[in-house]
Amino acid sequence: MENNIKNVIIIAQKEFADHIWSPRFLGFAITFTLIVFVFGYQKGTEVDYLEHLLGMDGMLRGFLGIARIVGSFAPLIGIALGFDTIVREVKSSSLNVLLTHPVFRDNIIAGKIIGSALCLFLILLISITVSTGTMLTISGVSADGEDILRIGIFIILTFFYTLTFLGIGVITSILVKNSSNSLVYNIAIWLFFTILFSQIILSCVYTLTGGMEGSIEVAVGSGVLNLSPGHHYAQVAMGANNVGWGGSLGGDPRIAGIFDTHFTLTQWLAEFWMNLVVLIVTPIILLITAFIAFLRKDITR
Amino acid sequence: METMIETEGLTKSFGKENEIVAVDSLSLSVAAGEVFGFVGPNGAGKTTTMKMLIGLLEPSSGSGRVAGFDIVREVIRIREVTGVLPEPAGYYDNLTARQNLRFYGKLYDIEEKQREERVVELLKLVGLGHAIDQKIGGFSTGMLKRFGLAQALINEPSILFLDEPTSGIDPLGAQEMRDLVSNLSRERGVTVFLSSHSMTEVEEICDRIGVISKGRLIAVGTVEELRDKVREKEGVRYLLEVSDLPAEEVAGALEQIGSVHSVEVSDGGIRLLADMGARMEIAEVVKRSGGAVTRFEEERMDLQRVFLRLIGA
Repeated sequence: MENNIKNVIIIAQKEFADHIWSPRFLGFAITFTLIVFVFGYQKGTEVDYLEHLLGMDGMLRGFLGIARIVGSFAPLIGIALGFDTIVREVKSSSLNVLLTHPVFRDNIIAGKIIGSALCLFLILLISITVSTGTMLTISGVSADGEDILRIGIFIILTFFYTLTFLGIGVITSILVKNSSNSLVYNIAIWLFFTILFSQIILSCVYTLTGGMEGSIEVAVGSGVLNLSPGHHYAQVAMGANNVGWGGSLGGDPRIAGIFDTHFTLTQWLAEFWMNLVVLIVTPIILLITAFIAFLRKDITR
Repeated sequence: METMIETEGLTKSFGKENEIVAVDSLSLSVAAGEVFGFVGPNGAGKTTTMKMLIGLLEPSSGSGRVAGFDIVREVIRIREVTGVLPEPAGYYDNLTARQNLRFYGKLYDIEEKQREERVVELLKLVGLGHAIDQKIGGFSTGMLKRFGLAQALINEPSILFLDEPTSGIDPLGAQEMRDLVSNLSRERGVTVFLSSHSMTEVEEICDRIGVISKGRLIAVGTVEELRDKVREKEGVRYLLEVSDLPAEEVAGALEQIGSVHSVEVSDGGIRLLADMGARMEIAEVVKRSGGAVTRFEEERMDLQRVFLRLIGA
């Protein structure tokens, strides 16, 4: 048992280091951080204008804007970390060698998932801290302890959401024969869930019922929307139906997500606990699936 | 002598109804310190056997023990005391030879200082002392094979499994690799289980050889013992030269011997195929006919030919 934990840590360390020193991944992570930073800067400059000229809650809108951009593109980090986790090692035959040393297969997959998850968390922590910090600094609004707590919870929510895509990426990397196919499938899944899914539901419900006003239409629409991980993330983070352009299926909740300071965190939790459970359980199920798929696969060449 | 590898009726089948039998009832044993060559045509079951012995594949039936550990229930114990150079083998291109070896070393209970020393020592041993801090991605095939041997030795194994250790490398590199393997067996008492297509290699460094074909072990023994098997099966080919008598006359006399199967006169000499042990009788007949034997030697049968005969090619 002790050896197993040690091996998992060794493999996780290597996976983490591989990602951190990979020029491809570094380039991607820096680009993402820059986008989020620029967005945070822009939102920071808008706060004063929104609050004083339009009478809107500038900070809330700023945070929601950041949440939307993070929610749209952060899954790509999960995909970048996971899409070739296993297929790369199978193709290069390095898994052939690794398996001749005293490690169990479950040590390998657990180490890889933990290493990638840590890397994912680190990038989200840096990028979200930088963007929200920039927005707060530029707007001149001071944040209290609860605001910082809300930002911390948002980072954790985003982590679980992105972990879902890491899980999908790892599963794909176990099932497919080469890295490029895996990447294409993952990008397609991302596009489907973040952009297409809610549009398709909207179109289908509209076409079949001739409108979106009735309670049945809304119930059907929001029920199907529950299948999208983006929906649950958008609910808890923004109080919206989807991270993309999802229309207004199912009606918006009264709380505008984690950053809505008009409500306490307890009220937020009471409103969104179901979404929160789905958001946390989904990646766990996916990672367990990846685990089982890896243990069952003939991975030696 | 202590047995390091032993299998009893080891079988591996693939397919939905186990219709493809890759290894069929394989029983063999390898003694401590022995260099055992495992040869066979492509698809004969060499790699499958090796994978079962190191716990990468579970046998369909039969049993096996490596270093006293069961190949199904004690896989990790086996891997702790064995070193493996698989084929194909890949390493982490983005890491240096030192970093790669350090990573594998961490998977064993080796103290850090000792591990670092061993990494350098092993890379020097395999002739990669100049490339310790070079990225593996820039290594040639020969260097990769050498590195593969170093990674297989990181835990100071008592048994080495080498799958095609010299394939794809130049003759000089191959010879150096063979010398390394021989030295490991001679100086450190390492038991080596070597699978190869190179008969020269197997003949040069292996104490005993197992020949596998279509999943079945068809012969085991030293090169000489394998030759005897072919001799028993097909007879012995001799080249005979006689003075004082025309070759045709001698050939006529030899044809009368029951243990001689064919006689052929060529270039003044006589080529004949006879049973094992017919040598004395042949010499007697030549003498009785009034001839004097000036040359009487067995046609050399190298391992390549022995192998081809054994597998019926």
